[in-house]
Amino acid sequence: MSMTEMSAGLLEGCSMERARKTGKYLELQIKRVLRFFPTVLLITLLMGVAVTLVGGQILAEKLSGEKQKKLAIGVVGDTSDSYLGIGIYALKQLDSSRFAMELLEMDEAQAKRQLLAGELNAYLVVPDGFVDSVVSGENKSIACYTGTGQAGLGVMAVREFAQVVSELVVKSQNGIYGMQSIGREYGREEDVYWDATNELNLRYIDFVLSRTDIYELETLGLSKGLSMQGYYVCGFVVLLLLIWGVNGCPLFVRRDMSMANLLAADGLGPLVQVLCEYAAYLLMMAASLLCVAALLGGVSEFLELSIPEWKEINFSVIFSFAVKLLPVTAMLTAMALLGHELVTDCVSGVLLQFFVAIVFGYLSGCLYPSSFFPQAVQRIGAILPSGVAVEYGARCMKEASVWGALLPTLIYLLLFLAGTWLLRRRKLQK
Amino acid sequence: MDLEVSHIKKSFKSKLVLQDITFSARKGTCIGILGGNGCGKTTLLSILAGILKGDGGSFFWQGKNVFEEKGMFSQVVGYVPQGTPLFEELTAKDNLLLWYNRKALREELDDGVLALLHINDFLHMPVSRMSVGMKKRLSIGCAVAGKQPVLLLDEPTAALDLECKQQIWDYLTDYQHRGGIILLVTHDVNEIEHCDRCYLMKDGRLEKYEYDGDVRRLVRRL
Repeated sequence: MSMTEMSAGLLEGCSMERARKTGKYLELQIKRVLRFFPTVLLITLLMGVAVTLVGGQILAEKLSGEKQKKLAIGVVGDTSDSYLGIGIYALKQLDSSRFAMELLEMDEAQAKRQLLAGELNAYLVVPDGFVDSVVSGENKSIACYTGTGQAGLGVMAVREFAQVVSELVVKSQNGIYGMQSIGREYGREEDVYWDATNELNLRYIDFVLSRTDIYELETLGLSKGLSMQGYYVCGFVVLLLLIWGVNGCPLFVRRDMSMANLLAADGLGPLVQVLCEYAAYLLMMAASLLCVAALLGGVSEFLELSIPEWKEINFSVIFSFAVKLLPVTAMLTAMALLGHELVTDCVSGVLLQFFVAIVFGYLSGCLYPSSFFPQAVQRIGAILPSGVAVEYGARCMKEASVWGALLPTLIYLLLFLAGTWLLRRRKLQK
Repeated sequence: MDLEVSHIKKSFKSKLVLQDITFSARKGTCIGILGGNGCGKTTLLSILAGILKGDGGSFFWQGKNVFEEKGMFSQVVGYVPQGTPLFEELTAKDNLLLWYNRKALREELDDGVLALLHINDFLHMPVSRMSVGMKKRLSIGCAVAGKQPVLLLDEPTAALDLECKQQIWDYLTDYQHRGGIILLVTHDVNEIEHCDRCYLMKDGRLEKYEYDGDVRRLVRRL
């Protein structure tokens, strides 16, 4: 049979041949992924272990910090006055503020040294003659010193505290001394107004100590209605999926377009190519996630994990959470594939994936709760793919409806695939 | 004529790369194209392989317009580009299976194109571990899977050792004797001697050239 006759025969079966070739291309992409999978799994597990260790450490620190961390406040100056002594004693021993702050009496030089060393959050200076100034109707305020490196809620709390102490002591002492001078003016015996003084002191102390009864504090969670543990688990899983984009670089970053060109000339256009590659890549990412989940599930009994959203932590809970995250995995895989299409060598690919993972992860609160960021950053973080992924993960963890987060996930998925297709088409036309 | 290429033009933005490319060939002809770097040789092959679209011109194979009839490129033209159109992680067999069905692959390996290219020697070797010559032979094996009557080769023996060059030329000679048309882009004057006809590509046009063994004269013409 001549070549021409064979060509004519081949023309008839053209579309069938194209379908066969599409199937074959998909099969080969899956084969590539499977060949590379042991390496990917090793890298994935290493990254998983690293992120779990770092995450676990951060979580442990946050949790122990919540329980144990107190604001250390130095008290400097003349505290020999009995009223001031009683006040400080009450704050140190009786008041509910003792769980949040620790008052340490010391001289100013030591306080300054400890503040600079970061051992104190602030120190208060009770001015000389503070009590006398109160008696005479003056108000020498208690000064509060904080370091320049200290910022945020802690410093605000300390300043507020200094003002409260100053105000409280001055007002209560004014009242007591006022009552004593009225007693003296009317010629009352000292033991009479001593009893009244004691009663007034006790009443002031009672007012101060019972002030927390006027409100109820209820903690709704760190962010997205999740506990700290739940939030960080969601954040770290999303961060891990973002970083796994690095795994696809050796397989999906193309320096040489000759294969893609030949396939395009043979009828396998950019859309078919991208979809086949995406399917294989998704298989790799999903398999990686499920393997890590299976491993974590297997060892969960030996880990002292406690996540309030889950009644118990075992293989089935962790594995089913990973299965629920497959739409997010699909979206982040498409994002990684778009990244691979943007670059032309493996090193740039790895750097791009890593950079995107860190920046997106940070802005969307995977590394640090987004509720601590300014509103504008929170808004940007929430609409990023990583933010959508965290939201989806949070809903899965709370066992809430995922439909609200599924739509943006699918929109992003389609946008990323469309972007990859356009880039591939452009490259093929060059 | 079996193959007729006429008035092919191509420009990238304002740069005119191909002005008016016209040539024709009968079955069993080997045509060599010489030219300096960046003169448009690869662009011409890419257009004839259907990878790039030309700005004008036609390409007829036995009276049928390859540019206009759907699916004609892959049936008529086999293309071996300069790069490596292979999956590095997979074996030679895996790569071949993208272009051949299993039955055809077995036949070609036993007593066909792939046997001539000595693919059996490294059939189960991953491409990443192959030499340049093995990769080139495998690329040719993939390119001619459809038994296309026209074979476009872009510097097929560059950086190959003598034995490998000989194996490739043995195959190309056989292909030519079976009626195939070879269009070969090369910088190697030794390969010109295998060609029935030779063209120089200059200023986006093809000029017929008779190579007489004088390399200095050839360089002056380029």
